Amino acid sequence: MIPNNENYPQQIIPKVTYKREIDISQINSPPLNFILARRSLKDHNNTFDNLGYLRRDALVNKLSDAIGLSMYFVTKIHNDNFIKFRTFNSASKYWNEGVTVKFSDYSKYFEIITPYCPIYFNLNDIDRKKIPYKKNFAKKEKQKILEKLNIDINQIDNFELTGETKIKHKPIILNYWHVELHIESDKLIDRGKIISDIKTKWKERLVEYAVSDILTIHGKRKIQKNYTNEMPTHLYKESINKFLLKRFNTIMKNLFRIT
Amino acid sequence: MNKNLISPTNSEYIEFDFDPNDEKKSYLSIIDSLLYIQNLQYGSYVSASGSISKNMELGLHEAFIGTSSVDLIVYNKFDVLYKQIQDEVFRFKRFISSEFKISENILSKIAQTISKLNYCAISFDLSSDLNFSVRIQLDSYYLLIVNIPISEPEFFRDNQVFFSLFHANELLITFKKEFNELIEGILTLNS
Repeated sequence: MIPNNENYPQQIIPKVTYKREIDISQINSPPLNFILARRSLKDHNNTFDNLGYLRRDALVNKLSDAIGLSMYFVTKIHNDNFIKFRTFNSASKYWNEGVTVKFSDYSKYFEIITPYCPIYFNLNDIDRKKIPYKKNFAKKEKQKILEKLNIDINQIDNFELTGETKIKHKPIILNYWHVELHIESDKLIDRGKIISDIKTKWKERLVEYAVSDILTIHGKRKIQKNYTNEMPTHLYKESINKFLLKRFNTIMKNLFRIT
Repeated sequence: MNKNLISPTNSEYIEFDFDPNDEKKSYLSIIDSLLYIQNLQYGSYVSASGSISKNMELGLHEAFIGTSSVDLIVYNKFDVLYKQIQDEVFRFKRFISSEFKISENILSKIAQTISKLNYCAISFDLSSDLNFSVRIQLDSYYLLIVNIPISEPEFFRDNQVFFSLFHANELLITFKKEFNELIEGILTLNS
């Protein structure tokens, strides 16, 4: 870690004309191929194993850290070099739509981590994946493999513990391009709820599956070619009419609150 | 490690086709194969320019070109795996502040069980939540990941492991199974 004597990339700070949230479901489908990046917790030599798969300790210190795991879009605006900047305190709080961020108010709340090792993920590889994640392969092929492994197909198809990964865009004060990994439960009583802890065994198993079967498998050392490096502006910028209308409504609300 | 010096003429272990008219080329081809094996960290049977016993691993540094023979040091596969597992434990220990101990029996059991498998490449990942992950590239497509929760010795006492089988990085199956039964099942996959 070195003192923050390097200029912070202010182009990644949220702007008043930006939307509160990018709808990831609109961009997570081929041929769009967005890349997410995260800073490894370890050095280059201890981030990937000798087969090129991500080491778990490079991703999280403990399993519960995988809940709400921070990553960033890699785009023309948010270069992957920017992941060396680590924000903290109030600079890491969620940004609220319409709020103007004055950089000087937060200039103390970032540091530069060096050396740093990036880990890349294809958004399509880790978003909206069922846990335990299953490929829909041919029934005959599946039956054959299960028979050889001496596993009853009913046991596989009737997992009580299922969930789904969701990448959520969560802009923070000093970085609009910040996203988080959420895990939604499919368990009947908790359907659609985001898992926020691993206090029960079934939640722990779901998070474990997300880490071992999805994240460590799909974490990459290098950014792949032909990735989509430009976010369509209509997804993150308000149209001028909508923006003015929202500003007008905010002013009116404040006015009535004062009076 | 147990070292056994063998000769390439010993058909039990190694069969290379030597062309008496082009002896040097044959030797180079052996060395090329060994480099290939070493680079990819193969742990078992490899069909290159000849064949190598599936229970043996070759130590490249011990191989050399001679005028009339090539001597190869052969390591027992279990020893190689056990050493790789120990290396991973040493690597892991550099990152933790508390004293970490793991039963030699568990390590030995893991190496013993995996040594039955034929695979292209293998790696180990021990993490601070005491999950011991064994990643086994079975061939160009199939990847087997065995996760052993060593923090729960009672779990492993029954030899139960979590496993995930991938095809081209797409998960086919993830489940819990007795370790030996899993390996026996995997062995029959290509039969």
